[in-house]
Amino acid sequence: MSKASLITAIASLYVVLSGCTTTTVDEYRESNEQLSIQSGDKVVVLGRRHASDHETEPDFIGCIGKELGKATALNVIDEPAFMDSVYPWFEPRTAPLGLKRMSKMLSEPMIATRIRSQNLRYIIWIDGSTETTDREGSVSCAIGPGGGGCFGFATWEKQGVYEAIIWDLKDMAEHGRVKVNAKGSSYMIAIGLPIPIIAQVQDQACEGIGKQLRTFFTG
Amino acid sequence: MNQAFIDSGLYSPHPGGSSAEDNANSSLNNMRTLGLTFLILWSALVLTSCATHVEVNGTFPRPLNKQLPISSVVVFDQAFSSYRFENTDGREVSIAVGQTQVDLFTTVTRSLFQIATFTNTMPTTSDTDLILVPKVEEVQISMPFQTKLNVFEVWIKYNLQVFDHKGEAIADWIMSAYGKTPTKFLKSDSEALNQAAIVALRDAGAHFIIAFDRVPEIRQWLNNKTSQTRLSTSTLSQSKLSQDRPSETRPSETHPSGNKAPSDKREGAIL
Repeated sequence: MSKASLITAIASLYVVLSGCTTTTVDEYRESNEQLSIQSGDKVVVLGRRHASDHETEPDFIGCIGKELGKATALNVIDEPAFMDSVYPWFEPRTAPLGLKRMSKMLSEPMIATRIRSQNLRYIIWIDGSTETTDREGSVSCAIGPGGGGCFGFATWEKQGVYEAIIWDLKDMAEHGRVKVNAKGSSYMIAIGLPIPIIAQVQDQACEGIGKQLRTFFTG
Repeated sequence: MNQAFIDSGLYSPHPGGSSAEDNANSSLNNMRTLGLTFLILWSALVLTSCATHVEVNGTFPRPLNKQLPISSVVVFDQAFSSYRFENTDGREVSIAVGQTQVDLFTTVTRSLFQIATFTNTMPTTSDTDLILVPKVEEVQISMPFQTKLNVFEVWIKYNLQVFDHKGEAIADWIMSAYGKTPTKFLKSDSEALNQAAIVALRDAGAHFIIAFDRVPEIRQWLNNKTSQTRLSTSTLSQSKLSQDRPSETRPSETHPSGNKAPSDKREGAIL
């Protein structure tokens, strides 16, 4: 086998195996109508961080923001910028867990003014995380004056479970939920050099949830 | 001579036999030295990777809150401003939070109090309404290798000592803060701990802003101060009125029972 065909074979195998992620997306809508969004209205995607056993990853929130931003009508506010602008009211300790509390928060003129000044119409809360659920095999590496190398085979499975909830700050209502469950297996083959074949579980979950959320606004 | 060494191309033959051997020996020694250096460096790298040292670095936004109408002096003593948590039990971990927590308390006290000044020694008396002395009681951290969870966690327990202008204690407020950050592929332990510490410090700031006037002793002190301010304002108004119209009284300033009217709601209390 020539070098070029070997590289092609490895690249093909990588593409095939790295695509080995299954994603299930469920959604719930309050109505079939597209969510109204006026020119200048903005959306912010925020991660829930109050749970003791997991933490919604900041880069996952950023990824969903980018996915939503692909819809031309949507202006997405960056999560850290929004949290800084309303500090300390959206920290894990203080963030509203329900619309009742959000409504009470907006009855405080100081907070309401700051939020309205940003033309914020929708808040999308994301709760969940990606965890390693199973791990098998091992890879050993050794190094010496004459050189080094790795040998072995390892595999691990990751599962990402996330739920998105859309709040409309104008109507003070919840308009829908999207739940995504992504699973994928990653491999590490080492014969001399380690060759990682990583399942993009979180990226797939982000794409799945982002595309589905976009349909709420763009139909 | 080592045939493999010759084959490796590092050996360049010379006409003179002894000179060639000397060169070869020299190259062999160089290679050994290089290998040894590499091993030492690699060992150093492995050993260094077992220790985590973090100088916490971050900025804090100006809080969105109602200001309390009080003046304060905040004392950042040496122990507070250079605080470093060190864990030598097992894996060596140290986090220096001193300067960053000074930045945090500077930001939040400037925002919460109408006037905030800063010093590094406890004043005997003060022209301000209160003296705030933050102290770190305890810091705890947990890392994925300890908990088997994919998060880095930082707890900070503060003792916020509050004194009045005469230096008399008003409250010892034990305030805890917590921050965590998820592990991330290719993110170093130092970076993750720094992020967790910043989240913990932001939490401390949020806790301070939200709960300062909810601490019973501080609340009572604030109520008394508000009452005194009202009383002195009332006395001032009454004396001004009595100067203008000596026979007129202002019944609205006194309760029907004859006692002073109850104070208004706290200005800093929201939500």
